[in-house]
Amino acid sequence: MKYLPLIWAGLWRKRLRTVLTLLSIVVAFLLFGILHGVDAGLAHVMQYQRLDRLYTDSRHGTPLPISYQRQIEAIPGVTAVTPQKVLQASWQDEKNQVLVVGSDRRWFEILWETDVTPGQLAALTATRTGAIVSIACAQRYGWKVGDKVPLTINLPRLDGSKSWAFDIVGIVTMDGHEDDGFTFMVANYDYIDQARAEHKGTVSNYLLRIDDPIHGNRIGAAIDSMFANSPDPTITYSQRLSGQSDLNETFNVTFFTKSVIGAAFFTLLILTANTMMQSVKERVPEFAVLKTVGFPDRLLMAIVLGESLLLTGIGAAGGLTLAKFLMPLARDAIGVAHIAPTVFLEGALVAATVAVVSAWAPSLRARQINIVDALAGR
Amino acid sequence: MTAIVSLGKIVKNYGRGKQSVEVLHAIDLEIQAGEFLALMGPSGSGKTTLLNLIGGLDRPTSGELTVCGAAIGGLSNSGLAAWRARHVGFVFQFYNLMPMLSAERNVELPLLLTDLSAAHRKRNVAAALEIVGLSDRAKHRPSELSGGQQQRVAIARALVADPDLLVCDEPTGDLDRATAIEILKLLQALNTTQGKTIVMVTHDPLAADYASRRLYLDKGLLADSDARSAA
Repeated sequence: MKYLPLIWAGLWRKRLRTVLTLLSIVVAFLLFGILHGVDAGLAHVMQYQRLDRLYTDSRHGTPLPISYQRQIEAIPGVTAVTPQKVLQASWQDEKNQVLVVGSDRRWFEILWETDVTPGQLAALTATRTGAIVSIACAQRYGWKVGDKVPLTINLPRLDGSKSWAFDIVGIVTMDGHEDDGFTFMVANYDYIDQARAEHKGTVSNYLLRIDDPIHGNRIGAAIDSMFANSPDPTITYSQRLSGQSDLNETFNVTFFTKSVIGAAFFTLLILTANTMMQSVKERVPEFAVLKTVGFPDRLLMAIVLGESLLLTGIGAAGGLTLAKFLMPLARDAIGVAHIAPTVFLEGALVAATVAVVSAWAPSLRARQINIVDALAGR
Repeated sequence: MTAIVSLGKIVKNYGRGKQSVEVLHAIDLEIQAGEFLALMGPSGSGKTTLLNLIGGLDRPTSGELTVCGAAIGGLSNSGLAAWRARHVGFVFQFYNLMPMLSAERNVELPLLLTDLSAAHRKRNVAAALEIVGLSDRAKHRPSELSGGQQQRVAIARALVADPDLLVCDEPTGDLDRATAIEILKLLQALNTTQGKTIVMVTHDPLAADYASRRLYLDKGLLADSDARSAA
């Protein structure tokens, strides 16, 4: 700390140049913070839109065979598949609508936005007529776990009736549907399929998860080409839009942001190194005096490094702080209004790296100063 | 008296292009502790080269050089730096102060290399500024001081670590006559009252008059200036 006044004074030897360099560093780290925020925002969008979640539907609107499930599971990149038999049901009155999805526990693994518990999933698997219902259903119709609820579905059972009984084994909340009154129920596909009188062994569509959103188009094409010549061709798309997936395959935003950050820091490195080199060059007689009074070479190198660290440290802190305050303005555009603490840590590491690399040559220059030549103005 | 500086057959060569030029030719010299020596001679005679060798800023090409009890010709760069910090104070013609630091910060520089606490350093700095009569200018930057005041700050910096030897290269060369006399009186007082050994390079015979001994250097060879004058 006793050298701080000396380091600080050296930093401000040329006030204008230091201010301009500092501004460049602030802008670079502002860009760093904002682009990391954009990157995080995109990740948030990807997560929210579930671009890693695909639907395989019938191209002609006809039911799809259940046998497709195993074939889809075998495609590289597909990590989970579950059938969906979607049925419109009513409870006691036509107005009391419930969307029934015949599926299995994997439905909750792929659509993870619910707060379903392992116990509820185990109960669904163990209870053939079991069903997990949305909180909206439970609140609207007064259902609770353990209730047996008869629904009317326009799908005849083997005995000709259209009354289907379900045992409620769980009530869940789904992210994004907390307040919209979305009344749905997930029941066992096997129960519905075995009890129905027609279209046995078919599903409305398949819900699947893939390993990486950028593989969406390739996997979708592989699925659709597999069944292209079958009687029931398919069409596969992401939950949002396949166009969104196109965006990621052709325009890798993470790569783009990292490239911009990389270019900005490379420029910054050159600029800071140049500033430090100029600064040392102009102060050769001063460094010579320090050497004369007994400052060892390694201490001079440390002083130059200290100046560089102080310069980039102040700039980085300024830029990242500015980014933190500006990010909320981007909330509407990218959906994320903060910079993760790890970005500040990463920024500190980047600043330290820029400081050390840019101070390396100037500190060597300071070390190599010949006192006699420098004092003689040679 | 004991010799604080002892030079035996000191030779110093400088390379100029492919040629090597001998600037000092087998110089023998002893400077006693407490002396105020004026080193005179024309430009290019080797005065500053000799002063640089005595101050440990440069190394001889050959010969034996002992200053303050150390054979400094054989010290490493870091060893020499530590030796300078402990034993020598420097005063230059153009003051060589750090322009961004206040007078007291400039004076404090040699003390940063010691283990003294901040409070102790502050006391020593105040004492050094008191000696040179600049206590009221402690917070001023060099650009806010006159030439004479800047040289006083430089002398305070040279003194603050209590060195055995003061090495002064044309300390009055950039000052008007009246200010030069003030500085010379200050150096003389440091020599007589504090017992500092001073080696001063100067062109000015008037400045040399303040010294207790004068030596004349010409073309890399020493001659007794007083003897020269008598002849």
